[in-house]
Amino acid sequence: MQEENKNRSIDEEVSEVLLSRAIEEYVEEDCAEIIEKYKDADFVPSKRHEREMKKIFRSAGKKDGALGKRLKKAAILAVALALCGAAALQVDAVRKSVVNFYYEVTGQSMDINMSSGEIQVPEGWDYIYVLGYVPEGYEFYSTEFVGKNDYCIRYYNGDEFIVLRQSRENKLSFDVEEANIQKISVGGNQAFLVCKEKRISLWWNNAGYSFYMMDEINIEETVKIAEKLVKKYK
Amino acid sequence: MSAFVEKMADSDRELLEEVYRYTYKILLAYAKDMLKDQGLAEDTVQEAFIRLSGNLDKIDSPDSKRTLNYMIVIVKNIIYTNFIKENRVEKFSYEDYDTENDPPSTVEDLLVEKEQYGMLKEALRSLSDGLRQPLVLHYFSRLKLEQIADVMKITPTNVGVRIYRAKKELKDYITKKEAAGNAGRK
Repeated sequence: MQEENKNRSIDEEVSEVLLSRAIEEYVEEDCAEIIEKYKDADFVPSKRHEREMKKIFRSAGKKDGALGKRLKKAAILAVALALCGAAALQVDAVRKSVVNFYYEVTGQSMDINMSSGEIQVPEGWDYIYVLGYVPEGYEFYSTEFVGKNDYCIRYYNGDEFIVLRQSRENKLSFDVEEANIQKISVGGNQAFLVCKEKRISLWWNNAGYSFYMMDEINIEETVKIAEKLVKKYK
Repeated sequence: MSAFVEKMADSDRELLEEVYRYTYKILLAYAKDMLKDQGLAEDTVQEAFIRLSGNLDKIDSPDSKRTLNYMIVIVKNIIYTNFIKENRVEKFSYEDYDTENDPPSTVEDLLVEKEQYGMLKEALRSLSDGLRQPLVLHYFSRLKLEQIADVMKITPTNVGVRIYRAKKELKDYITKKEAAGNAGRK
Protein backbone atom coordinates (compact mmCIF):
# COMPACT_ATOMS: atom_id res chain seq x y z
CA MET A 1 0.00 0.00 0.00
CA GLN A 2 2.82 2.35 0.95
CA GLU A 3 4.66 1.36 -2.23
CA GLU A 4 1.53 2.08 -4.26
CA ASN A 5 1.19 5.51 -2.73
CA LYS A 6 4.86 6.21 -3.38
CA ASN A 7 4.52 5.20 -7.02
CA ARG A 8 1.40 7.27 -7.38
CA SER A 9 3.15 10.28 -5.92
CA ILE A 10 6.06 9.87 -8.36
CA ASP A 11 3.60 9.46 -11.24
CA GLU A 12 1.87 12.66 -10.21
CA GLU A 13 5.17 14.50 -10.10
CA VAL A 14 6.11 13.17 -13.52
CA SER A 15 2.77 14.22 -14.96
CA GLU A 16 3.14 17.68 -13.45
CA VAL A 17 6.57 18.03 -15.07
CA LEU A 18 5.23 16.84 -18.41
CA LEU A 19 2.25 19.15 -18.19
CA SER A 20 4.53 22.03 -17.32
CA ARG A 21 6.77 21.20 -20.29
CA ALA A 22 3.83 20.84 -22.64
CA ILE A 23 2.52 24.24 -21.55
CA GLU A 24 5.96 25.80 -22.04
CA GLU A 25 6.07 24.36 -25.55
CA TYR A 26 2.50 25.39 -26.24
CA VAL A 27 3.29 28.98 -25.20
CA GLU A 28 6.48 28.98 -27.28
CA GLU A 29 4.68 27.77 -30.37
CA ASP A 30 1.77 30.11 -29.83
CA CYS A 31 4.06 33.10 -29.26
CA ALA A 32 6.27 32.13 -32.20
CA GLU A 33 3.25 32.53 -34.48
CA ILE A 34 2.49 35.94 -33.01
CA ILE A 35 6.11 37.05 -33.24
CA GLU A 36 6.39 35.89 -36.83
CA LYS A 37 3.18 37.68 -37.75
CA TYR A 38 3.97 40.99 -36.08
CA LYS A 39 7.76 41.23 -36.08
CA ASP A 40 7.80 43.63 -39.02
CA ALA A 41 4.68 45.54 -38.05
CA ASP A 42 5.10 49.26 -38.35
CA PHE A 43 3.33 50.50 -35.25
CA VAL A 44 3.85 54.10 -34.24
CA PRO A 45 2.79 54.68 -30.62
CA SER A 46 0.85 57.84 -29.89
CA LYS A 47 2.35 60.68 -27.85
CA ARG A 48 -0.16 59.95 -25.11
CA HIS A 49 1.07 56.37 -24.94
CA GLU A 50 4.70 57.47 -24.73
CA ARG A 51 3.85 59.83 -21.90
CA GLU A 52 1.96 57.10 -20.04
CA MET A 53 4.82 54.66 -20.47
CA LYS A 54 7.28 57.18 -19.10
CA LYS A 55 5.06 57.55 -16.04
CA ILE A 56 5.01 53.77 -15.61
CA PHE A 57 8.81 53.61 -15.83
CA ARG A 58 9.14 56.41 -13.33
CA SER A 59 6.71 54.79 -10.93
CA ALA A 60 8.89 51.67 -10.92
CA GLY A 61 11.73 53.70 -9.56
CA LYS A 62 10.34 56.72 -7.84
CA LYS A 63 9.26 57.22 -4.31
CA ASP A 64 5.88 58.62 -5.36
CA GLY A 65 5.18 55.66 -7.60
CA ALA A 66 4.25 52.06 -6.88
CA LEU A 67 7.47 51.38 -5.02
CA GLY A 68 7.08 54.64 -3.13
CA LYS A 69 3.56 53.76 -2.07
CA ARG A 70 4.78 50.42 -0.79
CA LEU A 71 7.59 52.09 1.08
CA LYS A 72 5.31 54.70 2.61
CA LYS A 73 2.87 52.10 3.83
CA ALA A 74 5.81 50.04 5.03
CA ALA A 75 7.11 52.85 7.12
CA ILE A 76 3.71 53.25 8.75
CA LEU A 77 3.40 49.56 9.52
CA ALA A 78 6.92 49.37 10.82
CA VAL A 79 6.41 52.27 13.17
CA ALA A 80 3.17 50.68 14.31
CA LEU A 81 5.04 47.46 14.97
CA ALA A 82 7.75 49.31 16.78
CA LEU A 83 5.10 50.87 18.98
CA CYS A 84 3.78 47.40 19.75
CA GLY A 85 7.19 46.18 20.71
CA ALA A 86 8.25 49.13 22.75
CA ALA A 87 5.20 49.49 24.88
CA ALA A 88 3.79 46.00 24.94
CA LEU A 89 3.49 45.95 28.67
CA GLN A 90 -0.02 47.30 28.56
CA VAL A 91 -2.19 45.77 25.94
CA ASP A 92 -4.84 48.48 25.96
CA ALA A 93 -2.26 51.22 25.77
CA VAL A 94 -0.55 49.59 22.82
CA ARG A 95 -3.81 49.07 20.99
CA LYS A 96 -4.77 52.67 21.50
CA SER A 97 -1.36 53.98 20.46
CA VAL A 98 -1.21 51.94 17.29
CA VAL A 99 -4.75 52.68 16.23
CA ASN A 100 -4.32 56.38 16.91
CA PHE A 101 -0.99 56.50 15.14
CA TYR A 102 -2.27 54.60 12.12
CA TYR A 103 -5.38 56.74 11.93
CA GLU A 104 -3.38 59.93 12.28
CA VAL A 105 -1.08 59.01 9.39
CA THR A 106 -3.48 57.32 7.02
CA GLY A 107 -6.88 58.66 7.97
CA GLN A 108 -8.09 55.05 7.87
CA SER A 109 -9.39 52.90 10.67
CA MET A 110 -7.56 49.81 11.80
CA ASP A 111 -8.81 46.83 13.78
CA ILE A 112 -6.44 45.36 16.29
CA ASN A 113 -7.31 42.53 18.60
CA MET A 114 -4.72 41.60 21.13
CA SER A 115 -4.54 38.61 23.38
CA SER A 116 -1.94 36.96 25.55
CA GLY A 117 -1.56 33.44 26.92
CA GLU A 118 -1.34 30.46 24.61
CA ILE A 119 -0.79 30.91 20.87
CA GLN A 120 -4.17 30.45 19.23
CA VAL A 121 -4.88 29.82 15.58
CA PRO A 122 -7.29 32.64 14.73
CA GLU A 123 -10.83 32.08 13.59
CA GLY A 124 -10.99 31.48 9.85
CA TRP A 125 -7.35 30.35 9.58
CA ASP A 126 -6.44 26.69 9.15
CA TYR A 127 -2.97 27.23 10.54
CA ILE A 128 -0.44 29.85 11.43
CA TYR A 129 3.35 29.88 11.49
CA VAL A 130 5.13 30.04 14.82
CA LEU A 131 8.80 29.94 15.75
CA GLY A 132 10.23 26.44 15.58
CA TYR A 133 13.49 27.73 16.98
CA VAL A 134 13.16 30.09 19.93
CA PRO A 135 16.46 31.64 21.03
CA GLU A 136 17.46 31.04 24.61
CA GLY A 137 15.71 33.26 27.12
CA TYR A 138 12.78 34.11 24.87
CA GLU A 139 9.23 32.98 25.55
CA PHE A 140 5.94 33.42 23.81
CA TYR A 141 4.50 36.74 24.96
CA SER A 142 1.36 37.69 23.04
CA THR A 143 -0.53 37.68 19.79
CA GLU A 144 -2.29 40.36 17.88
CA PHE A 145 -4.75 40.18 15.06
CA VAL A 146 -4.31 43.20 12.83
CA GLY A 147 -7.24 43.43 10.46
CA LYS A 148 -8.56 40.17 9.02
CA ASN A 149 -5.50 38.69 7.37
CA ASP A 150 -2.49 39.87 9.35
CA TYR A 151 -1.45 38.03 12.47
CA CYS A 152 1.34 39.04 14.78
CA ILE A 153 3.07 36.90 17.40
CA ARG A 154 5.56 38.29 19.89
CA TYR A 155 8.23 36.55 21.94
CA TYR A 156 9.94 38.36 24.81
CA ASN A 157 13.04 37.81 26.90
CA GLY A 158 12.24 40.43 29.51
CA ASP A 159 14.20 43.01 27.61
CA GLU A 160 13.67 42.64 23.87
CA PHE A 161 11.02 41.32 21.54
CA ILE A 162 10.99 39.05 18.54
CA VAL A 163 8.00 40.01 16.43
CA LEU A 164 6.75 37.63 13.78
CA ARG A 165 4.06 38.98 11.58
CA GLN A 166 2.34 36.96 8.86
CA SER A 167 -0.11 38.06 6.23
CA ARG A 168 -2.27 35.99 3.95
CA GLU A 169 -2.55 38.90 1.57
CA ASN A 170 1.06 39.24 0.47
CA LYS A 171 1.03 42.88 1.47
CA LEU A 172 3.35 43.31 4.42
CA SER A 173 6.05 45.85 3.92
CA PHE A 174 9.03 47.13 5.79
CA ASP A 175 10.58 50.29 7.02
CA VAL A 176 13.41 51.53 4.82
CA GLU A 177 13.95 55.04 6.05
CA GLU A 178 17.71 55.41 6.55
CA ALA A 179 18.11 51.66 6.67
CA ASN A 180 20.54 49.24 5.05
CA ILE A 181 18.78 46.71 2.88
CA GLN A 182 20.19 43.47 1.54
CA LYS A 183 18.64 40.77 -0.58
CA ILE A 184 19.27 37.42 1.05
CA SER A 185 17.84 33.91 0.95
CA VAL A 186 15.59 32.47 3.63
CA GLY A 187 14.93 28.79 3.10
CA GLY A 188 15.40 29.25 -0.62
CA ASN A 189 13.07 32.26 -0.82
CA GLN A 190 14.29 35.73 -1.61
CA ALA A 191 14.11 37.94 1.44
CA PHE A 192 14.91 41.54 2.27
CA LEU A 193 17.03 42.11 5.31
CA VAL A 194 16.63 45.58 6.71
CA CYS A 195 19.04 46.74 9.38
CA LYS A 196 18.32 49.98 11.14
CA GLU A 197 20.31 50.89 14.22
CA LYS A 198 19.99 47.83 16.47
CA ARG A 199 16.82 46.59 14.88
CA ILE A 200 16.91 43.79 12.31
CA SER A 201 13.88 43.21 10.11
CA LEU A 202 13.35 40.48 7.62
CA TRP A 203 10.65 40.40 4.96
CA TRP A 204 9.90 37.47 2.70
CA ASN A 205 7.15 35.48 1.01
CA ASN A 206 6.55 31.78 1.16
CA ALA A 207 3.63 29.52 0.27
CA GLY A 208 1.20 32.38 -0.22
CA TYR A 209 2.11 34.07 3.06
CA SER A 210 4.11 37.22 3.61
CA PHE A 211 6.30 37.32 6.67
CA TYR A 212 7.81 40.19 8.58
CA MET A 213 10.11 39.46 11.45
CA MET A 214 11.79 41.95 13.68
CA ASP A 215 14.21 41.54 16.53
CA GLU A 216 17.37 43.02 17.99
CA ILE A 217 19.48 39.86 18.15
CA ASN A 218 21.89 39.45 15.21
CA ILE A 219 21.54 38.70 11.51
CA GLU A 220 22.68 35.08 11.69
CA GLU A 221 20.27 34.28 14.48
CA THR A 222 17.44 36.18 12.79
CA VAL A 223 17.84 34.18 9.58
CA LYS A 224 18.05 30.96 11.58
CA ILE A 225 14.77 31.78 13.32
CA ALA A 226 13.11 32.65 10.00
CA GLU A 227 14.23 29.41 8.39
CA LYS A 228 12.82 27.31 11.17
CA LEU A 229 9.22 28.50 11.28
CA VAL A 230 6.72 25.72 11.82
CA LYS A 231 3.03 25.46 11.14
CA LYS A 232 0.64 25.32 14.05
CA TYR A 233 -2.71 23.83 13.14
CA LYS A 234 -6.03 24.27 14.90
CA MET B 1 15.77 56.65 1.19
CA SER B 2 19.03 54.74 1.35
CA ALA B 3 21.42 54.44 -1.57
CA PHE B 4 20.63 50.77 -1.79
CA VAL B 5 16.92 51.41 -2.27
CA GLU B 6 17.63 54.07 -4.87
CA LYS B 7 19.85 51.65 -6.71
CA MET B 8 17.17 48.98 -6.54
CA ALA B 9 14.57 51.41 -7.86
CA ASP B 10 16.89 52.54 -10.68
CA SER B 11 17.59 49.00 -11.74
CA ASP B 12 13.85 48.19 -11.73
CA ARG B 13 13.19 51.20 -13.96
CA GLU B 14 16.01 50.30 -16.34
CA LEU B 15 14.87 46.72 -16.58
CA LEU B 16 11.31 47.78 -17.32
CA GLU B 17 12.51 50.19 -20.01
CA GLU B 18 14.69 47.56 -21.61
CA VAL B 19 11.86 45.03 -21.70
CA TYR B 20 9.66 47.68 -23.28
CA ARG B 21 12.24 48.57 -25.94
CA TYR B 22 12.58 44.92 -26.84
CA THR B 23 8.89 44.02 -26.91
CA TYR B 24 6.70 47.05 -27.57
CA LYS B 25 6.36 46.83 -31.35
CA ILE B 26 5.13 43.26 -31.36
CA LEU B 27 2.92 43.76 -28.30
CA LEU B 28 1.26 46.89 -29.65
CA ALA B 29 0.79 45.49 -33.14
CA TYR B 30 -0.68 42.28 -31.77
CA ALA B 31 -3.00 44.08 -29.34
CA LYS B 32 -4.16 46.49 -32.06
CA ASP B 33 -4.90 43.63 -34.42
CA MET B 34 -6.90 41.85 -31.74
CA LEU B 35 -8.78 44.90 -30.49
CA LYS B 36 -8.99 46.87 -33.75
CA ASP B 37 -8.33 50.06 -31.83
CA GLN B 38 -5.00 51.77 -31.25
CA GLY B 39 -6.06 53.46 -28.02
CA LEU B 40 -7.24 50.21 -26.47
CA ALA B 41 -4.10 48.46 -27.67
CA GLU B 42 -1.94 51.10 -26.01
CA ASP B 43 -3.96 50.89 -22.80
CA THR B 44 -3.49 47.13 -22.82
CA VAL B 45 0.27 47.35 -23.20
CA GLN B 46 0.43 49.96 -20.46
CA GLU B 47 -1.49 47.66 -18.14
CA ALA B 48 0.84 44.82 -19.07
CA PHE B 49 3.86 46.87 -17.98
CA ILE B 50 2.16 47.94 -14.79
CA ARG B 51 1.64 44.25 -14.03
CA LEU B 52 5.20 43.47 -14.98
CA SER B 53 6.54 46.14 -12.65
CA GLY B 54 5.16 44.09 -9.75
CA ASN B 55 6.71 40.87 -11.05
CA LEU B 56 10.14 41.90 -12.23
CA ASP B 57 11.68 38.95 -10.44
CA LYS B 58 10.13 36.74 -13.13
CA ILE B 59 12.35 38.34 -15.78
CA ASP B 60 15.71 36.67 -16.33
CA SER B 61 16.95 38.85 -19.16
CA PRO B 62 15.15 41.82 -20.74
CA ASP B 63 15.81 40.77 -24.31
CA SER B 64 15.32 37.03 -24.07
CA LYS B 65 12.72 35.13 -26.05
CA ARG B 66 11.19 33.95 -22.81
CA THR B 67 10.65 37.55 -21.71
CA LEU B 68 8.91 38.33 -24.99
CA ASN B 69 6.75 35.23 -24.55
CA TYR B 70 6.04 36.25 -20.96
CA MET B 71 4.85 39.67 -22.12
CA ILE B 72 2.71 38.20 -24.90
CA VAL B 73 1.06 35.95 -22.31
CA ILE B 74 0.30 38.98 -20.14
CA VAL B 75 -1.12 40.97 -23.05
CA LYS B 76 -3.24 38.02 -24.17
CA ASN B 77 -4.51 37.64 -20.64
CA ILE B 78 -5.46 41.32 -20.37
CA ILE B 79 -7.26 41.19 -23.71
CA TYR B 80 -9.07 38.08 -22.58
CA THR B 81 -9.95 39.45 -19.13
CA ASN B 82 -10.94 42.95 -20.20
CA PHE B 83 -12.43 42.50 -23.63
CA ILE B 84 -13.30 38.93 -24.48
CA LYS B 85 -14.34 37.23 -21.27
CA GLU B 86 -17.83 38.71 -21.01
CA ASN B 87 -18.85 37.71 -24.49
CA ARG B 88 -17.09 34.51 -25.26
CA VAL B 89 -16.03 32.58 -22.23
CA GLU B 90 -18.21 29.73 -21.15
CA LYS B 91 -19.94 30.03 -17.79
CA PHE B 92 -19.11 27.28 -15.37
CA SER B 93 -21.52 25.78 -12.96
CA TYR B 94 -19.69 25.19 -9.73
CA GLU B 95 -22.65 23.90 -7.73
CA ASP B 96 -22.60 20.46 -9.32
CA TYR B 97 -18.86 20.27 -9.06
CA ASP B 98 -17.84 17.35 -6.87
CA THR B 99 -14.14 16.64 -6.67
CA GLU B 100 -14.57 13.50 -4.60
CA ASN B 101 -16.49 11.64 -7.29
CA ASP B 102 -14.45 12.93 -10.19
CA PRO B 103 -11.38 11.09 -11.41
CA PRO B 104 -8.03 12.38 -10.18
CA SER B 105 -6.92 15.63 -11.72
CA THR B 106 -3.54 14.39 -12.81
CA VAL B 107 -2.83 12.81 -16.15
CA GLU B 108 -0.03 10.58 -14.96
CA ASP B 109 -1.34 7.33 -16.32
CA LEU B 110 -1.76 8.78 -19.77
CA LEU B 111 1.55 10.39 -20.35
CA VAL B 112 4.08 7.68 -20.87
CA GLU B 113 4.29 7.62 -24.62
CA LYS B 114 5.58 10.28 -26.95
CA GLU B 115 2.37 10.07 -28.92
CA GLN B 116 0.42 10.91 -25.82
CA TYR B 117 2.65 13.88 -25.13
CA GLY B 118 1.80 15.16 -28.59
CA MET B 119 -1.85 14.64 -27.76
CA LEU B 120 -1.42 16.64 -24.59
CA LYS B 121 -0.19 19.61 -26.60
CA GLU B 122 -3.06 19.17 -28.99
CA ALA B 123 -5.44 18.97 -26.04
CA LEU B 124 -4.02 22.23 -24.67
CA ARG B 125 -4.95 23.95 -27.91
CA SER B 126 -8.46 22.55 -27.68
CA LEU B 127 -9.11 24.08 -24.26
CA SER B 128 -11.22 27.21 -23.99
CA ASP B 129 -9.40 30.41 -23.04
CA GLY B 130 -11.13 30.39 -19.68
CA LEU B 131 -9.50 27.10 -18.79
CA ARG B 132 -6.19 27.48 -20.60
CA GLN B 133 -5.34 30.92 -19.20
CA PRO B 134 -5.05 29.81 -15.56
CA LEU B 135 -2.93 26.82 -16.60
CA VAL B 136 -0.56 29.01 -18.60
CA LEU B 137 -0.35 31.61 -15.85
CA HIS B 138 0.33 28.90 -13.30
CA TYR B 139 2.77 26.68 -15.18
CA PHE B 140 4.41 29.17 -17.54
CA SER B 141 4.24 32.50 -15.73
CA ARG B 142 4.73 30.77 -12.37
CA LEU B 143 2.00 32.76 -10.67
CA LYS B 144 0.35 31.60 -7.48
CA LEU B 145 -3.39 31.00 -7.34
CA GLU B 146 -3.95 34.30 -5.56
CA GLN B 147 -1.98 36.18 -8.22
CA ILE B 148 -3.88 34.48 -11.03
CA ALA B 149 -7.14 35.34 -9.29
CA ASP B 150 -6.01 38.93 -9.16
CA VAL B 151 -5.10 39.23 -12.84
CA MET B 152 -8.11 37.27 -14.06
CA LYS B 153 -10.47 39.06 -11.71
CA ILE B 154 -11.89 35.84 -10.29
CA THR B 155 -11.59 34.21 -6.87
CA PRO B 156 -8.66 31.94 -5.92
CA THR B 157 -11.14 29.07 -5.45
CA ASN B 158 -12.38 29.65 -8.95
CA VAL B 159 -8.79 29.53 -10.23
CA GLY B 160 -8.27 26.19 -8.47
CA VAL B 161 -11.47 24.84 -9.93
CA ARG B 162 -10.53 25.97 -13.43
CA ILE B 163 -7.10 24.37 -13.21
CA TYR B 164 -8.70 21.16 -12.02
CA ARG B 165 -11.31 21.31 -14.77
CA ALA B 166 -8.64 22.04 -17.39
CA LYS B 167 -6.62 18.99 -16.32
CA LYS B 168 -9.73 16.87 -16.40
CA GLU B 169 -10.53 18.06 -19.93
CA LEU B 170 -6.96 17.28 -21.00
CA LYS B 171 -7.34 13.80 -19.61
CA ASP B 172 -10.73 13.29 -21.28
CA TYR B 173 -9.36 14.54 -24.59
CA ILE B 174 -6.43 12.12 -24.52
CA THR B 175 -8.62 9.24 -23.38
CA LYS B 176 -11.06 9.82 -26.25
CA LYS B 177 -8.26 10.12 -28.79
CA GLU B 178 -6.67 6.96 -27.52
CA ALA B 179 -9.95 5.07 -27.63
CA ALA B 180 -10.52 6.27 -31.19
CA GLY B 181 -6.96 5.24 -32.13
CA ASN B 182 -7.39 1.78 -30.63
CA ALA B 183 -10.73 1.28 -32.39
CA GLY B 184 -9.12 2.29 -35.67
CA ARG B 185 -6.32 -0.24 -35.23
CA LYS B 186 -8.71 -3.16 -34.49
